[in-house]
Parts: sequence; structure tokens; C-alpha cells
Amino acid sequence: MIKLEMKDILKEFPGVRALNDVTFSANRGEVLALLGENGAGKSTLMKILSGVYPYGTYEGDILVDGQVCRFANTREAERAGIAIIHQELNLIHGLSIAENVFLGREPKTKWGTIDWKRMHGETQALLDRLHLPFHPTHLVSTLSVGQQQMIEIAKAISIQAQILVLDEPTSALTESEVQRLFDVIRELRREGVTMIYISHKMDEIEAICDGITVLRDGSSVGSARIGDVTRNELIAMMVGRDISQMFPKAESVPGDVILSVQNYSVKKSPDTYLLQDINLDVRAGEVVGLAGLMGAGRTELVMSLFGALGLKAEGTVRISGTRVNIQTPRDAIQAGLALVTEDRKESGLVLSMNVRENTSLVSLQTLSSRLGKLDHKREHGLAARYIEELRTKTPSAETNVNNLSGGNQQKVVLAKWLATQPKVLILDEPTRGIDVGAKVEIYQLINQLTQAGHAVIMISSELPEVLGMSDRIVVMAEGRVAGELARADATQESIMKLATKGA
Amino acid sequence: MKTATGLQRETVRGGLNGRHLLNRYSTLIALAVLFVIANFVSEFFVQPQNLTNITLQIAVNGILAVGMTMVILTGGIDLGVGSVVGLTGVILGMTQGYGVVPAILATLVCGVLIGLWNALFIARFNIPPFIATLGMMTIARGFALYLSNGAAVALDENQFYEQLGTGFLPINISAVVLGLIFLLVAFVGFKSMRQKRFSLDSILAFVLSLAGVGLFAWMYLSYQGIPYLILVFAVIALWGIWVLTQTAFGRYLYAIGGNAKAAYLSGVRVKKNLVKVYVASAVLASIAGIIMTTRVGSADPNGGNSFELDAVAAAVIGGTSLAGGYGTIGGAMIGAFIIGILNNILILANVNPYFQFIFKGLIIIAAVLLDMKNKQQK
Ligand SMILES: Nc1ncnc2c1ncn2[C@@H]1O[C@H](COP(=O)(O)OP(=O)(O)OP(=O)(O)O)[C@@H](O)[C@H]1O
Ligand SMILES: [Mg+2]
Repeated sequence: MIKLEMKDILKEFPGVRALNDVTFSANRGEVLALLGENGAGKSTLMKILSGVYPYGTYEGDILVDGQVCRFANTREAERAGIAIIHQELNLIHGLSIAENVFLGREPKTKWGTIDWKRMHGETQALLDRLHLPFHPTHLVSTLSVGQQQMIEIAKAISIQAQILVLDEPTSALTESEVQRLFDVIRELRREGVTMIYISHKMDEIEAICDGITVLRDGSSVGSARIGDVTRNELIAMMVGRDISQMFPKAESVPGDVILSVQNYSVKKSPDTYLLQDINLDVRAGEVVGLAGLMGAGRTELVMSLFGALGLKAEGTVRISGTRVNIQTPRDAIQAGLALVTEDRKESGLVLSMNVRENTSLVSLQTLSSRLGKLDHKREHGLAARYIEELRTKTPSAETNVNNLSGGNQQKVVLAKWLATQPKVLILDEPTRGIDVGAKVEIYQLINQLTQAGHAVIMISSELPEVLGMSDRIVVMAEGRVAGELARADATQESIMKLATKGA
Repeated sequence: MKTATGLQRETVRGGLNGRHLLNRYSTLIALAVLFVIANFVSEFFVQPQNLTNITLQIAVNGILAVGMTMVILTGGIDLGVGSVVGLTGVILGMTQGYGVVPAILATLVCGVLIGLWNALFIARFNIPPFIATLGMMTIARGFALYLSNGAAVALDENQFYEQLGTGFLPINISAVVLGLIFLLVAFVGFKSMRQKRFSLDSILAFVLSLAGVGLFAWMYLSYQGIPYLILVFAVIALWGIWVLTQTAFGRYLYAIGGNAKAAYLSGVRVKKNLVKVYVASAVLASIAGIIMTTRVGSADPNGGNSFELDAVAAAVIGGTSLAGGYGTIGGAMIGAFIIGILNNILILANVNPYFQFIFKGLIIIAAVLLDMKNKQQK
């Protein structure tokens, strides 16, 4: 039974046609995967469905249960039973979990005031259902990105929608959180909820979805049932070409030690360690994968090395043999480090600036004369070069980064750091939200960097990626190095064993 | 996947429609409309003398608006500038006996110190700029009143101050200067037009800027030449535009206002840049103080009262976002002209002077409303 249909959808932004004749349908109780490259128009399509782009700003029809729907705003879509978990987090940091979950629909007492008891009770029930160990009154600002994502999911579930859109819901989740989410999805499917699932992770699609619709350059190029198509066929449909090798790891000969970290500890309070006694060497031409569960201290380690954690560190850090004292990100950049942070919207991009300005932000000093005058020509050149090299899909270098698709925003962050020609490039979840084709491009970029003698540290929660691209894998658990594995010895099992050691 | 350049050409051509232009030039259009209305209100309005006077009245607010725009870009605000105008005027008056150069230096040093003080609390102790500079507003006013015992300090007769405040660049030299400016604007404009491959947008900008210079040339040359004070103002405004569009420092201000965390992680010295911007704002306020004092011939310890609000208004009318990250000096200058012309119209129309406040308030609200609407459409 067809629950939802979107017919001949067309949507234009100034200068770009984001959607160009998209048609698809989904059945009741079906999990439909929406696939496509970065910028293919997936999020835009779902924003139309959920009323973010109201009726009149697009062409085409939305049919729910055969009825044409014309939503003027997200409220109306919600009332029609459509909920969406957006690609980017939309929580208000200063509010509690319960306040965020019920924002705009707070239960009321008969006096018209907020019924806190009910609100907290229902939130607690949601948290229990998702096995989240928080209290409804916890502030959202105290949660990690992954935990916040789980709260977004709780929020969407609480609306009790008939149609639930999940736009890359797992990009910040740990393996076990993903499993919990899948359990919830299966449960909802049994209840007859129709779900549209957007993801760039093929494993997940195969594990949880029933059908597939593929978008390319704003048009729907085909639909299929899971199991009727092979993964390679799917990828070819998405990117319009064959991708022979997912992890094109180039053999590299490790050179001298570039970054050497010894007896490195960071204390959270006088007697609790955030990071304890870390020893880590990274050689030129080498990719070191940092694996571990969420909360193992990987992000904290790189943030601290980069001078951005704001806590005092003990131990020694050497770069190319000379001891460095990195207090601020600026020191780190001057010492030859670059850090692509895990949350591009919060700490990677200046959303009010355009692609060019974001790309050149770290390099401005080298792009200006001694008097401080910017060399606009070189700046434009820099931006154009990286748009081409990373194949960033943007109308122009002057487009506001806010208007780019998630994956293309990530490419802009990468461009910003690549432009500094760092000795050591630290990547914290570099391929989060990036499509299959672009992932391969980023891996190839990593290859180019290592072959040119740069060192790369890569944090990733996707084990296949860590396994596929690292020369060496350092596994962290509870703020310590739990062990190290050579490329040849590393398997998912051996990593997980180390990662859960002592936990 | 389309190539970036292919798409780029598409936008340049496709992105230009009526609404786009209306958005982009909305403040300029508002200014033009006001100009036309003024003509109906009084035929005296277009007299070169009246126009010259308007520019003289705008100068102080314009100078303050340059600094204010820079501060607001970072997401801050400087509410102290009005009082600083009053205080620095008094300091100029009290140190005039030591000679022109020492007196002006003393005034500027006072501005630097005030800026450093603001920055100390804002950048070092993380006090919200609104509060820190609100404190400065009363502190500076208090000093002005204390130092002068609450009485105006008259400037002694002095050739330099008189010329600066009320003099004109001789008319033939003015003509040469304006001619050179015209050529320079034409040259720069043509270069940028060629760079943008003669898009309609760039042609329009070229024509408008030449028309602007022409208007100024006509108005000053048909009266007594360029006032010296306007030269100071013009240099400051051009400096502001240069800083924001041509230097790394300017770019950092946008980055800090847009996302301070991302800027910090990108190696931007957020605190150092904040110090610079608050010092710049206070120094510009002391220059405004000098100018106002020389214009009137005496320093009023109550002078500059509520000027900070006019400066904020100019910036905001000109499209600067109070949340930081967006805004231009050019816009703020247009904003200052809108406020100045509006005041002039109300005076020419013999409107009760108290009404001016009400009008100004309404205009600010309308301008922000319009700006928000434009941004939503994007
Ligand atoms: N507000 C906007 N203004 C202008 N262009 C936009 C806007 N939003 C999206 N676009 C453009 O529309 C196209 C589709 O973007 P969309 O976000 O839907 O892609 P996506 O398929 O979700 O990609 P990703 O996998 O990277 O999230 C892109 O080219 C993007 O640059
Ligand atoms: Mg998307």
C-alpha cells in the first residue's frame, strides 16, 4: 500500500537547480533508502517533504495516502504525521533534554503552565527506550555530538509520526548506538511507520532498508528492492561511473618520525585523568589510525595536541625532532599541524562566509603582504584550485558555505587545512557525511599527502575505513593507549578487543 | 557533476534579476527616495550650501559608525563612544595650552587607553561588550564632567583648530582633488568591471560610484570647496573600507563574528583582534571628539550624548547584523547619510525637534525589518 508519493518535484535556488524532476513512492511500513552523491538533492527533497521549503517554493506534488498535501510550514507537515531528523543538529544547547524534545509542543497543565512532571516522565520513557543513560533535566550542551544525535532521534520518535525521515542519522553515532537505532527502526516498521533513510554507508543501507531510490544531479535515476542489485551496481547508479576500489591505499615507505608524543597526560581535575601516559609516534608518509569507542579520548587527544582543549598537558611533544610547546591552535599551525575537527558546523566553518573566505582563512597571513594587504588574486586562485582538486560541488567560490550540501561543506573544511601544507594532518572523522565517490577522492588525497612525505593521523568510527587506510592502528580506551596494531594484523575483532579492554 | 566554472557562469548570468538588485541596493534606494522627498519638502534642500552642511553634520556620526561597524562585525558593541567624544573634547580643551600637537596627541592617547580598558574586560575577563562599554559610557562621562567641573571649555583662538573645524580647502585645489578622485574611482571601477566581465552588476556599481563622486564634486565646488573636516572623514571612511576589504585583519573580524570558535581553531588570534578593534573604535571616537570641538569652538562635557546610538543605527541601517559576521562600512556610511538627511528634512519641514527622535526610532526598526526579510529570501 503506497503511503507516500512525491511527483515531478522541481526546486531551484538562485543559480542552481537543486531538484529537477524527482519522482518516487514509499509503502506503509517500508524503510526506503534515498541514495545519491553529495549535492544530489536528498536533503533538499526531504526539506520539501517536511515543510521546511513551503508549498509554492517548489513545483510538483506531495501525496500522503493519495491526498495532495501543501504544507505552509513544518508544523503542518508534523500534523500530517511527517517528522524529520535533519542532517545537521538542531538542538538548543542552553536547554535541557526534555525541553529540547518537547520544544514548541510542551504538555500543559490545566493552569496553562508547563506540565514538567509529564514532560520529564515522557522524556524519561523515550530515553529508556533508546537506552540512553541521561536524566531529562541534563543540559544538551553537556552531551557529545553522538549523544545529541540520539536526542534528535528521541525527539522525532516522540512526535509519533507516520512518516519519519532520517537524514544521515548515524554519522555521529557509535557502533552500539547505531544498533540501538536500528532496533528502534525495526520496531517502528512493525508499527507501520514509513521511513526514509538517507546515508552514505552501504552496510547500513543493506542492513536496515527494504527499497532504494537513487538521485543523481537532482533527478531520480532509478529504484530497486534491496537484494535485487549489487553494491557495485548501486554505486555506479549513484556516481555514474564504476568505482573499482573502495580503499585505494598506496604503499608508502615510512620515513623519519615527524610527530612524537611522550608520556602525555591531561588532567580533568586534580585527581582524574582525561588522557593518561600517551606515547605516540607518527612517521613521515604514514597514516596512523586512531580507533576506539566514543569517549575513549581520541578527540580530546588531538584537540589537546592542537592546543585547543584549554587544559594543561604534561609530557613532551616533538615535531621533526624539536620540542614544541603548543598552547594555542596558532602555535600548532605554526608548528605544522592541521586539525579537521569532527563538527564542521560548530567548529569547522564560518557559516556567514563564502567558500573562498573559508578556504583561505588559515592561510590569510601567507596570502598577504607585510603591510597586511591581502592578495586577492592568489586568494581566488587558492579557492578555485581546491574546488577543482576536491571536486567540491558549488555554484561558485563566492557561494555562502551555508548553502552547500553537507558533504561539500566538509570538502571546504578539508580544503582550508590542505591549503596550509601541514606536516601532520589530523583528521577527526574526515569522511562523515561524504558520499562514496568523494570518500575515494579523499582517500586518494591522503595518499598524495603521504607520498609527498606528510604524516596523517585519522580518527574514524568506521572500522572498515580505519582498516582500509591506516598503516598502523593505535587503539585507545578510557584515555589511554590500549594497544597498537600493524596493518597486517589488524581486524575488526582485534581492534574491538583492544577498544573494550578494561571497559 | 558539473564543473565549478560552468556553474559559475550560470550564476553570474542567471542570478541577476530585479529582486536581487533591489535587495543589494535597498539602502541606496532608500537614500535616493529620501533625497527626492527632501526636494518636495523644501527647495532649499538641494542648495549646495545646505548639502555641504548636511555632510558636515554627518561627519562625526560617520566617523563613529566606521568604528562601530567594525566592533559590531565581531558580534560586540561599543556603547561608550558618545561619552568618549565628550571626554576627549574636554581633554583637548584642557591641554590646548601645550600646543596643537601635544594636545591632539594627549587626546588620541586618551582614546587608546579607553580602548585598551574596554578590551581588557571584554577579551581578558570575558565581560559581555554591552556591559563593559555601558560601564565606560558612564565612566567617561563622569571624567568629562569632573575634569571640566561641568562647564564648557572654550578653545582659544587658533588658526589650526579654526581651519579644521570650519575651513575649506581652496576651491581650485578642491577641484583638482575631486578631479583626481573622479579619475581614480573611474580607473578602479573600470578594472573591477573588466574583472567581472562587464556583468550588469559591475556596470551598475561603476555608474553609481561615479555619479556619487560627481554629486559631491558639484555640491562642494558650487559652494566653497571641500571642508577640511570632510577630508578627515573621507580618509577615515576609506581606511575603514580598506581594512575590511583588503586586509587579513578585516577578514578576521568577519570570521570572529561569524564563528569565533572556528576562527580560533583556524589560528586567528581572537583576543588580540578584539583588542585592536576596541582600540580603533575608541581612537575614532577621540578623533570625532576633536572634530566636534573644533567645529563648535568649545568642548561641552555633555557633548556626544547618545551619539553611540546614532552610530549603531547607521551601521544597522546599512545592513550590519548585530549578531556579527555581516556588514560593510559602505553600508554604514549610507546609513549615516540616511539619518543625516532625515534630520535635515525634519528641520526644513519645521517639524517639532522632539519628533526627530521618534522618526529615527521608526526608521531603524523599519530598516532592520527590511534587512531581515531580504536575508530570509536568500
Ligand atoms: N539554501 C540553498 N541555497 C542555494 N543552494 C542550495 C541551498 N540548499 C542546497 N543548495 C544546493 O542544492 C544542491 C542539493 O543540496 P542537498 O543539500 O539537497 O544535497 P544532498 O543530496 O543532501 O547532499 P549531501 O549528501 O552532501 O548531504 C546542492 O548543489 C546545494 O549546493
Ligand atoms: Mg544532505
